[in-house]
Amino acid sequence: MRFSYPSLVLLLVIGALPLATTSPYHLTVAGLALIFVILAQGTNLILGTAGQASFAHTAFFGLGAYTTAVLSTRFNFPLWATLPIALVLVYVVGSLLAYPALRVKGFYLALVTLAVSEIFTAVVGEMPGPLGGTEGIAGIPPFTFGEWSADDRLSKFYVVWVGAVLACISIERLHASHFGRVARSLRDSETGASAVGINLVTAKVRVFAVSAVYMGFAGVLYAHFMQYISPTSFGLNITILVVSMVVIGGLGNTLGVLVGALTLSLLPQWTRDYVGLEPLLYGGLLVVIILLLPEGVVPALRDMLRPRRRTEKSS
Amino acid sequence: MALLELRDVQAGYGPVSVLRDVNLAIEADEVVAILGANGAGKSTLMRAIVGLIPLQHGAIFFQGRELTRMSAAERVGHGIALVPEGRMLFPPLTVLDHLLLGSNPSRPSRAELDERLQRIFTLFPVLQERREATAAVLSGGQQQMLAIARALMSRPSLLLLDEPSMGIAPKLRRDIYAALGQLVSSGGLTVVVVEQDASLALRLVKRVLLMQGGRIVRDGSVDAFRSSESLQRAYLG
Repeated sequence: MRFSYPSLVLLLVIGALPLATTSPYHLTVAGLALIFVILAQGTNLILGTAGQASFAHTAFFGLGAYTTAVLSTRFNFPLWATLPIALVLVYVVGSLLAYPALRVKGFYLALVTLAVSEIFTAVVGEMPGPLGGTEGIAGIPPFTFGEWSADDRLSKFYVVWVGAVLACISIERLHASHFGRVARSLRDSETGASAVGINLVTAKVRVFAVSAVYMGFAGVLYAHFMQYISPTSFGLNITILVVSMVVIGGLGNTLGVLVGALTLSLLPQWTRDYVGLEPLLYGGLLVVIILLLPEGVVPALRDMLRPRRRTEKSS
Repeated sequence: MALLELRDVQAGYGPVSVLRDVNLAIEADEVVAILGANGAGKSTLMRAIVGLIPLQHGAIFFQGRELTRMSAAERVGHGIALVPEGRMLFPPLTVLDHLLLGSNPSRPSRAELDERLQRIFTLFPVLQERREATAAVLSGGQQQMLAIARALMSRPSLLLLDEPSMGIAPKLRRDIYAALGQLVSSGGLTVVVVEQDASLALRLVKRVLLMQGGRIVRDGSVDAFRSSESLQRAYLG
């Protein structure tokens, strides 16, 4: 199976966390970091790999979360039913949204998709019925598979960890597949892509919808992991945070996005003593990375190590 | 029946027309050069044929089938391949990735794909050596070979080459044209080449079209072109 070793090592280290601590707090932080990994990988697919400036990811994240939350709390649907329903719904909505949204490019696409995210949270917040309005939905059941239920924090953490591993493996497989080649061709030259017979509209819609599925998957995991959701979980701050994870790690680089997502998810743990300064730290880090390492941290590190390896070989 | 036929074609960008009343018929297995000054409409003609810009008026037929409303992707599927000006490669993708993408419109079987790759590697051995290299690290000449190879992977009946020698060292230009000569001599492929370096193109082709102000102003054989002193002065220096 094609999967980069550094990604595997990072995920194994996170998976081994319970050997060091079983504190519910630490496991919650680590579980959320893994959910952000999935969200960032999905965002990277459309933003980094295919080069489409889409910022609708939190809407799909929220759609996945709300779908499973409503179905499981109001209709007692089990996870094996809510998960596929949520993913199919996100794919369909993603496809339908992509057709009009992808008629515009660059800055305009960014604005349209950002508006979609904002409209989603506004609409959900204004619907108190089954969606819970601003109060959200509480009492979402934990992950349940048949007779087994992830009632404790450790079990929930491992379900999310398995989800993140599957998402990372599948996204790397996608990158190496025909789908990935097509997505990358869209970013670099639409004329070149047309010249090799790629239908630009179909290709963009597919990439948009598939990336939405990853975000929806992250949403499903989030809902059953936290067992509570509200519109604030899917606000503009999450949109900006996820884009920062992708940009800092390295646009289009799956390992970079993994590193970026883990770093920015865990950063608040080291800056807890400086309450209120987090936005400044995020912003500052983002500005520094964009100015000094515009391709992201991981691609920059890879480029720095490459000549050294050659020198070592030749010496 | 001509392989490619353009009837009263008018095309351009937005409201601006670059091509005006272009009528053209190209037979199967012909090798044609399109010459002209900058801004004459050569590249626009190529883009119109392959469907990268819509027609403002007129119609295009390929193998008797009207292409006018077909997308660029559909036209590639019907056997037209373009090597665009500036190559338009995908820098982070490897040589092999490009070739696989190029083969996709015709959806070949595994055996057929291997056979096509072998044919490409025979034509451009350097691409086999660098099959795992990304396009970003290839030299200009290798990139042009890759752009041509990517187009050939779809097994086109009509190959359109837009400035294949642009920005390439003279030795590599000759290598590229030698490979094109091999392709042409093996038959089954119609080639239309837009080229600034007329002397290079004239070694390959049998027919020359001259474009000026978006119109085809002269259409004749290479011999007729060579026998005209004024044309020789204007295009061959």
